[in-house]
Amino acid sequence: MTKRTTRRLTYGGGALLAIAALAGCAAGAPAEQASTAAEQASTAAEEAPAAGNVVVVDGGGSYHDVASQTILPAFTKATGIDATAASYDFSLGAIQAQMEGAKDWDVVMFAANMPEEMQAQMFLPLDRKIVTGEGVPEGLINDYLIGSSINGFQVTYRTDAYPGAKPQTWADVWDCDTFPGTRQMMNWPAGTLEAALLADGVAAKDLYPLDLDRAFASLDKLVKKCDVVWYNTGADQIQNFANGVATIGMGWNGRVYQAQQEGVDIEASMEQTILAPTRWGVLKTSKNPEAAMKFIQWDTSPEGNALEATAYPGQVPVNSGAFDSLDPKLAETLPTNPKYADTVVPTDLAYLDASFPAMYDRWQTWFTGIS
Amino acid sequence: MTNASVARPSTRRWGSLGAGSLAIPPLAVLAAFFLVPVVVIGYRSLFVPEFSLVNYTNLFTKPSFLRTLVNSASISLIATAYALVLGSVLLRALIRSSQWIRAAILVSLVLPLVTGGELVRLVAWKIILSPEGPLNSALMATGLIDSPLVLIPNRFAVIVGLLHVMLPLFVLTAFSAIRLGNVRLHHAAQGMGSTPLQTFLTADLPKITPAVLAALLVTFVIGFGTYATPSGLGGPGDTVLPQLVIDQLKLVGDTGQAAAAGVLLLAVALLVLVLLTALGGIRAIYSPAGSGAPRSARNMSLAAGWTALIISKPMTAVFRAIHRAGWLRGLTKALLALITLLLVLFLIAPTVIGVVISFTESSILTFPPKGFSFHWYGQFFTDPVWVSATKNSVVVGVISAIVATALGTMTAYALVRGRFRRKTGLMTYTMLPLLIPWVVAALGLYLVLVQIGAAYTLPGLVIGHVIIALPFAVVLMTPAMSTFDWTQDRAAQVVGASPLRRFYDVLLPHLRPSLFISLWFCLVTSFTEIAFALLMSNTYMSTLPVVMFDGIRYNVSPTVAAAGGVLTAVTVGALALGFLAHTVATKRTSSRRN
Repeated sequence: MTKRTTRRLTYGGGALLAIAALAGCAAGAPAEQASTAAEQASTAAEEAPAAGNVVVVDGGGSYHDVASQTILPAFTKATGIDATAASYDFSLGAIQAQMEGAKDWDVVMFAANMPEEMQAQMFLPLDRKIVTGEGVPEGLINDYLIGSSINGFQVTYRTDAYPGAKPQTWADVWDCDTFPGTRQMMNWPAGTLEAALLADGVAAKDLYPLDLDRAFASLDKLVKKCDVVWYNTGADQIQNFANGVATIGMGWNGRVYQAQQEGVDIEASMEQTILAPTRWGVLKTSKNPEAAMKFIQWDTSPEGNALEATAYPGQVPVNSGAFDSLDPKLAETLPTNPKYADTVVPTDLAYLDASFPAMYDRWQTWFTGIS
Repeated sequence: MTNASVARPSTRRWGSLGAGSLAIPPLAVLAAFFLVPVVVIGYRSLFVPEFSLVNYTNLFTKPSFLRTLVNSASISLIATAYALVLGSVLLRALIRSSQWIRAAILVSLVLPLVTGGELVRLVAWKIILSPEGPLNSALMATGLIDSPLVLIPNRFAVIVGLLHVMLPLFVLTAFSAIRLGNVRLHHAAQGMGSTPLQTFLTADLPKITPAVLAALLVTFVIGFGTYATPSGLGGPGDTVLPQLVIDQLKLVGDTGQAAAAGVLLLAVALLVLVLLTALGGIRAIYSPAGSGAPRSARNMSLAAGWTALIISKPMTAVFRAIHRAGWLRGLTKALLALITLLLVLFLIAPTVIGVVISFTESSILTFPPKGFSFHWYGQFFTDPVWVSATKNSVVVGVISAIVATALGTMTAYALVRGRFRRKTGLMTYTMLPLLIPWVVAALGLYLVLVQIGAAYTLPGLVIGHVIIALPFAVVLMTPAMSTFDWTQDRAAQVVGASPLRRFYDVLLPHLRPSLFISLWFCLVTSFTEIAFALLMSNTYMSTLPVVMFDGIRYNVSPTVAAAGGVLTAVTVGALALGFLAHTVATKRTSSRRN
């Protein structure tokens, strides 16, 4: 017993010494640290997979599994470029941390809106010689980012709640007399403000620039008249429907589709689907920008997009060319299907990017003031 | 105190600080990996993007910051108040019950803190409180209500979720401190003809007050820095300031603003700490209740006045009347027993529900679960992502638990045996990592580790987890250290035992139970903490909480519940073994004495 205890304590002592050494290190002159950091970084690079490899960073979850098992291998097969899947929590902090630290990410899936001058600090300009963007709507492309897929925000409801007339539009979500039940909406301005304006009678083509006063007034009406719960993540949204916390509200088409496959009894309207893109960008710290650009081009091509949609049901193509080869039954569920062109509501990325900081500020003030 | 002068020659060999010098390594580690990062954060709050006070003026001019600050404070205050009231019932039960009931209550208190962590707990509460969840179903089945109560998401759910951790924290902290107090006064008072209630109010209450204050402090600051529970179980009116810190970091990428909000949180927490230190709360953790801690004259007169009031003739008549009303006492007893039982159920319910739902066949978590399968456990034990993350977590957890407990033990020794002033300062200093939201501390540490090339490494994560586990280790090891009968050590010294030998053969056996608890607590903290883990992990290095976080955020994957189930099984197993070992050891000791 005593012997074992001794050994345990020795390990502890060893670790303690290591900590003490590090502590001494930290107390040293900062100038010396820079070289140490550089050395460490180069060691890290040696351990990372060989050059020519692209690290593609997604938002995690089941998409990540599909990316690493199906999509990236297909890219490697098509181009001969090795690719590794990584994931993050869509947070800007994680990207900044990555750029200050390990610098091993190349392509990042990006869900945020920010002014272009901030994008310029994070991303390399798209090499349009490689990333042609053919078949991708111009509105989804700017100097730094290109749409990777679409998140369709849909009027979604529990099937058992409305046996008669079914909710179709955002105005129906705002109408809690005809369609009673607790609402669930997203704690996020982009998409929710659009829904509020549509519910208030603004036509899809007149949405931008957003009339923020009118949008918040419309949201005020909603929270005054109806019970509303607010979700922060896509997972919450499905749990809320499945456990009866909410009966109607804003669903994300991919989540809704997957939940339906799991037997959750919900339906989504194909009217007024708000199209919110996620985008690809190449980090400024990428060690392999050319291969990274090649990945983006391959993935946003009709073939790449079709594979994404097939391998990950619910993933919505940005490239309309993808629909040529898609299974018609699957295509039926995807809001960017040309047949829904008249009913969907595309978001204006240039507007959202430029005005996001002020919009978010106002959202926080409004949201925390809901009583 | 009397043997202090005798012990002086030997302690002098350790240097002029004596036993206090053992506090130097923990102090240094905290300085390098906690204070320096906090300074870095403070710097960023002033100099990012350029030097200005705008990040601070924003805090007080933007309504969202003020509202969330108020929310943080009020949520934590309410939950702390409930913890005090309900915790007192549990404390009473703990002090008075038989060994087995006490063990059962202790297990129910420890479970919420050590199984699965915040993530699994929140999933379980969401399911329990939902309109179609077990609580509403049970109430409807008994006919108490006709339609489901709206229990979530609102302030009620937030308080329930918070209380579920704050109640155990309060009770365990207070219990370990109260146990140290001697009960001689108690007997003296009873001998003089007081009723039990009077005895409690005059003899026991003043003695346990500092311990309870200390426990309240710890409980409040943890509630103040929390964000996952309010954001997971609450509505818009429950948005808390730490949530805004995280949003600034994650969604807006504004480190300067996030840093300023972090500094504000730290300032408020420090204010509370200073207040409670002034009231003598923090001292109770390292100095046994009522063991000759010098009291100020005003405290003395207060205590004397209080006692005079309680034992005054009219009051005594009232107390006698209460004492004689047997039915009242019986009713109170029955009521307290019922509340205790309900609290134990409240404490273990999420763990039980969490385990039950992990056996679902579906990939959507509901209660009751659909079907029965081990599928998600299979996934946990075979999926390479989960396996490698679990391995990393075990390595990080074990090393950081050992290091934190070692440092905590050294701090405890210095606090109890050292002869230096400003012990309260030392105690407060080691508690600091508990006060600042971990996401802010993590960001600061991250920035420092990047500079020395230790980010994205297991040692980097170990450092982070040592920092956050250290306060727990100090709180757990100090009472153990101060209950030790130091004359034994003196005796061993007299017969010529070396300091090392005295530690192994004399002190260690006494410390062993607390050491195990501390190790386990630190291990579990490391296993379930996500703020540091998310920042320190990357493409090539991931840990269990990171994978769990991913699973919850994206899909509420039942594998997360399965992981929670495994953690629960391991915890309960370890607790059972520990209790058995303790019982056997006690029996052996008592039979030897007989």
